[in-house]
This record gives sequence, structure tokens and C-alpha cells, in this order.
Amino acid sequence: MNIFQIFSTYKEGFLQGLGVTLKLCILVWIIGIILGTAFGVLSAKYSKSFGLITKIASTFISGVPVIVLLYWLYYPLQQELQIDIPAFNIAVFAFSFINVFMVADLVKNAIKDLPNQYLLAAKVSGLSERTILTKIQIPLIFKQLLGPVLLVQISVLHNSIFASLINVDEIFRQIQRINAMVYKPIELYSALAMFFIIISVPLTIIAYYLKRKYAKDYSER
Amino acid sequence: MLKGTNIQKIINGAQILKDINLTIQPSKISCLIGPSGGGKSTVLSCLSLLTNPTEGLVSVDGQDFTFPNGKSSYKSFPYPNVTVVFQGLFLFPHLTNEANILLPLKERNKISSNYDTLIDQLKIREVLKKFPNECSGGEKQRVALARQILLEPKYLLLDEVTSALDLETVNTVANILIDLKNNGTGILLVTHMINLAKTISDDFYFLDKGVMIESGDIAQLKTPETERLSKFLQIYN
Repeated sequence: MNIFQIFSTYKEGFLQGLGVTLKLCILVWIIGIILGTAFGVLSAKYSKSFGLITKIASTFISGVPVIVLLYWLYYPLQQELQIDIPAFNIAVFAFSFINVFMVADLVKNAIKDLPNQYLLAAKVSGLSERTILTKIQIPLIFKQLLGPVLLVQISVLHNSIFASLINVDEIFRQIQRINAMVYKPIELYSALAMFFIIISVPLTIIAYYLKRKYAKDYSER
Repeated sequence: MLKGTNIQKIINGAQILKDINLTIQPSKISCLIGPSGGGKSTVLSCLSLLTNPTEGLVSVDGQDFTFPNGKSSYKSFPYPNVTVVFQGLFLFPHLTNEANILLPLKERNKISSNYDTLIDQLKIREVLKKFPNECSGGEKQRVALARQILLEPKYLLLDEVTSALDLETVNTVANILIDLKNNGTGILLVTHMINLAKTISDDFYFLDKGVMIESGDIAQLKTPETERLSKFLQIYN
């Protein structure tokens, strides 16, 4: 049985896994970018409240492996609280939590690193606060954030395979299941690697395109 | 007039400016000279309220701005009627030179009739479509000057804006400043170019270590009253 025959035979499971992985990632990307940006802006503005929360959360995220967080949310927490939350929702929550605070940290630092002199120059030129925000701050911050935020989103995609460990039927788990039946690990895991490359490469190309389009090198020569 | 009275600036316990009194009058060019690190740029920042003085009074055409304990007592400062060209220039790096110049003008729905004349006088037409980082220091200085001059400010504060220019362009800038002065603009020129200061200024202020050592009519630079200014002029003349 070659790889095409395997996929043809088990296409239902494979497509389901593909769908679950993409659904998980898209939800986490949207939540992470929207809430992360909002939290980042608030953290830069209110460093003693939101900023502190972001700092603590970022430290927690960098210190605790994703898989520990997933297990902790899925097993002991639910048991303690006597609740039953679907594994997919737990995964969305855990990955979104990580994505939100990673994006928030990037946004906060980009805002804080923006040289104040540009804002002073805008101020003495009589620009309104709205113009300063839309024409000066956001474009400069966007340029700085583009690359790092897209890299974080690619890492979300890669980390999504950990969801299989709490029984989310995403692509990795489906491949494992198919492998248990046909035992073709080289073909199946190579195909899985190809899947991740196929998803990651367009993202990397988009990142490169956006970087070229919006992130011109403005550094002084 | 734009006037600073008894301006004090203390940063982390260090007194940067002490009892500075300085007046910029319409239709006059004043120059602020002094050794590096003497507080000239801080005076400029305080007068334009980009930095709050710790104590003192800044008044613009009779409107007073006070700073009890370094806190501002005002809501809005009349930018760009008072405007600044910084030593660091601070052109917006993501905009072309043309967009840098036009953005503040569009905000005010006012494209100056002087636009083309000034662009040609400053010889920056060829660099309008370029980004600031694609230009030389002198070109950037001229773009920064154009950006603020076209706003037609009442008071123009210039911090070392001729430092990267060749003598021919310094002359051009000098003539532009004289034209502005003749049209009613009050100008404060922070410079190390004493000859330029002598040529175009009406009066001078000499600042050293945060203290205004001497001030007066520009002719007074020929016969300074203080030894400190004499020594300074010997070095910079």
C-alpha cells in the first residue's frame, strides 16, 4: 500500500484531522492577534496594571511547557472543578492564552521602543493625536511587528500537534491512528511533515511579501 | 512674543538650567550660543514646552504657561505657531521626504504658496520622492527646515540646523531666515556658527553650564563683557 492508497483509504480521517488542525489554528490566530494587540496597547499605556499582567503571563508562558499547560487544564483542573470541557475548547483556550500574551508582549515592546522624538516632531508640526496615531505610530509599529508576530503564528501551527495529547483529533493524532492500522511510519510522518511545510511556506511567503511591502528598511546608512 | 522667564530645569537632582530669561520677538532673529552640553537644546525644549520646566513661566503672545513643581498647568500649546527643527531632525522614516513635508500641511488644509519656491531655494526637489535614509545629512536638514518653515510659524526654533550644510547652502538658509524675519517670524537660532549668528541675528544669548552668562545686541559680540564669552569666541571665531 503506497502513501496515495493510504490517503485514499483513510481520506475521511485525514481530512477531518486537517480540518481540526486548521480550525484550531485559525481560531487561535484570530483570538491571539486581536486580544494580543489590545492587551499590548493597554500594557504600554498602563504599565502598572495591564503591563504587569502581561509581564507575569509572559514569564509564565516562557517557563511552563505548552504540554504541561494543556495537561493541567485538561485533567486536574476539570477534575477539581467537576466540569467537562471538550478537549478542542481546552486546546483553543491554552494556545490562545499563549498567543495572546506573546503577541501582547511584542506589541507592548514595539510601542515602547518607538522613538519619542518622532512623536515630538509630529507634535510641533501641529499634527492631531488622531493623525499621529494613524499616520506615524501605527505604520512604524506595524513595520516592527510584522515579522515577529507572523513567526509566533507559525509556531502556533507547529505547537498545535500537542493538542493530540489531550485527545483532540487533529492531524497528528489522525496520522498516528492511521499508522497504528497500516504501520507505514516513514510514509505517514513524511506526509505529515509535508503538510506542515505546505501550510508554513505560504505563511512565510506572505510574511516575506508583507515585509517587503510594508517593512522597508528605514534605518540610517 | 515668545518669552521664558526664570526657567529652571532639574533632572535627577542635577540643575540643568538656572533662572533662564529669554525673549524671542516677532521680526527678530536671536541666536543662542554656548559650548556643547551647556543646556542650549534644553532651553529650546523648555521654550517649546516639549519638556516642562521645573519652575518658571513661558508665555506666547500673552498666553501664560506655568509649571508649579514641574507640572504643566495648560491643556494645549499653540503648535505649530511655535515650532522646532531639531538637531536630530526626526523626519518620519516611513514617509518620503515629500510626504514628510506635506503631511502637516494637509492636516491644516494649507499648502503654502511658497511651496515650490522654497523647495527650489533649498534644492531638495530631486530628493522629494526619496526616503530620509536615502539622503545625506545636509539634504535631511533642508527637508526638515522646509517641513517646519512651510507651516508658516510665528516663532521658529532651530537647533543646529546648518551643521551639515556647505557654506553655499548655509548662505541660502541664512537668506531664507532673513526673509522669514522680514515677514514677521521670530526666530531662535541655536548654533556654533558664530559668523552666521553675527551675520543674521539681531541679538544673542550666551549659555554655559545652564546659566545665561551674557546677552544683548549682536554687536556686543565684538566686545564681550565677560571673560567666559571672550574665551568662547576665541575658540569658535
